[in-house]
Order: sequence, then structure tokens, then C-alpha cells
Amino acid sequence: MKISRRDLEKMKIIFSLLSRARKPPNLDHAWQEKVMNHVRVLETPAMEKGFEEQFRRIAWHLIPSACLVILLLALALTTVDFFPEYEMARQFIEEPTGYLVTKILGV
Amino acid sequence: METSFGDMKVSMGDCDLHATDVDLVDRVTGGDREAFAFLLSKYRDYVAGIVARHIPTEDVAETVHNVFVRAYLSLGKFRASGEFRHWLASIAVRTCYDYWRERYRRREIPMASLTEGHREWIETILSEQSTEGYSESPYQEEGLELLNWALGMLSPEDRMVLELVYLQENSIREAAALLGWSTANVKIRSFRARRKLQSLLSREINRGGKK
Repeated sequence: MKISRRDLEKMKIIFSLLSRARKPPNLDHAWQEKVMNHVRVLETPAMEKGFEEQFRRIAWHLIPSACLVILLLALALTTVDFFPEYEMARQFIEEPTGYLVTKILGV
Repeated sequence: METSFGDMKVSMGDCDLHATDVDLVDRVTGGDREAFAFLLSKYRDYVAGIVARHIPTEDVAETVHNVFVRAYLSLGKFRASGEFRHWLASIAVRTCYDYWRERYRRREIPMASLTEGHREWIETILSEQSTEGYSESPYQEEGLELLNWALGMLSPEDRMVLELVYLQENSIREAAALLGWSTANVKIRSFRARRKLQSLLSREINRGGKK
């Protein structure tokens, strides 16, 4: 014999009522004091910081490194004389074949 | 100054009588552990009600204790945008789930088969047209034993989903939020757990019929 869906539904109603009828025990003052005694020996829970606040805290540590990188890049730009458009134009005028081969081959 | 929550008197100190849950959480996380007593008094019966629906009566007090300790340790993760009651309910359900996982791991689930009385209970239920009166004594005891037996035959995951969705009639979304699982996972588990329950009960009836 197999229990049909209808039978299972009928049993479900009764099981559901029985499940809801379970009464919790009375938790008295002694129980509450026991929990509080446990809590008193635990460390205070620290408030977890949000992402924004965590980022703000980390960002301060990154500022010296960021300044150093900016300084080095500025220094590199002033010392290295590199203007891509000017270099390309010069190459095209002086050596057009070489320029075209470079452009086609993608070297 | 003292105030009373149920049968307990709690010293108020400079605590506002109308302090919200968020205020109390802030106070606890700010170092005032005693403020936790207000949350404990306010929600102990609510949490006990949730736990009692999942855990055997003899272990409810200890499990509720664990729920509050776990909640205390996690107070830093509580977001004021959510409701404290729902956050606590979710911790209670997950603690119950962990309770069953631990018991299954230790193999502490009684696997005794059903008696003739239980099989008769099923047959009577199935033969009756109405379900009225069966949740009351004298049928209550056999029904509860049968329910506990059937739930004990399932995995802790199936057990929790079946209780939350099938017996307590929470929606899939609510059950997923309480357990911290995806809705798809809860939906699939709910379907499978129901099928398992159906085949378990069918098998037991057949076993009784062969004797």
C-alpha cells in the first residue's frame, strides 16, 4: 500500500498541529542568571565596521605609497623625452617604408 | 531604579525605559554587558517557542541558552537596518540545525521501528474523512512519536526544511532566510524530504500489513 498525496496532506495537517502544540518549558530567573553569568565571562562583542569605513581606514595607509608613485612618474615624464605623435610623424617623414612595414607587421 | 520583565527584575541604571533593540545592542557592543539582560528578558519566550518546535523538550533550555550566547557573540554583525527579532529567529533556527547535525554525527538518533499502535494510528487517520480531533489526546502521543520517528529517519537538512516549510508553513523564501541557504536549495530539499516522508510512511504501513 502506498500513501497517496491526499493521505499525506491529511497527515501533514495533523503533524503540523502536533508540531505547533509543543509547549516550551518555563525559563525562570535562575536560567536567565545562568545565561548572564556566561555572558559576563565573554569578551565584549566588537561592532563590525562597514566596507566604506574599512576602506577609509586602509586608504590612509596607502597615501604615502601613492604619493611616492606619483612623484616617480612625474620625474620620469620630465626626464624621458617621449612624445608618441611627434615620434611617429618624424619616422613617417624620414623613413616611410620602414614606418609602413612596422605598422603592417605590428612591431 | 529597577524594572521587571516577566519574573525578573533588572537594574536599569541610566537605561531609558523605552530603549529600542538597536539602542540596547549599541550599549552592549559599547561595553555594557548588563544591557544584554533586557534583550534576554524580552526575547527568551519568543526564542524558546521557536526552539521547542525543533528540539526535544528536555534540551530546549540548554539550546535557548546557546542561542543567546551565540547572539551575544554575533551582536557586532547585527545591522540596525534589519529587525532584531528576525535576526534572532535566524540564529535560533541555525542553532537547532547545528544541534541535529551534532546528534546525527554522534549517532544519538533513536532508530527503533514503529509499534502496532503507531500503524493503527496511521490507518485510522487515513480511513477517517475529517482530521478534526486528532491533534488532541488520546491520539496526540502516538502522533508525536510517529512524527519524531519519521523526522529522525531524515538527514538534519531535510528535517529542518520539512519542519520549517511543511509543518510550520513558512514560505520557501522565509525558510531560506532563516537557514541562510539559497531558495533553490530549500525548494529542492523540501520536495525531496516530502517524498522521503511519503515513502517512509508507506513502507512502515506495508511492513505492518505483512505481519
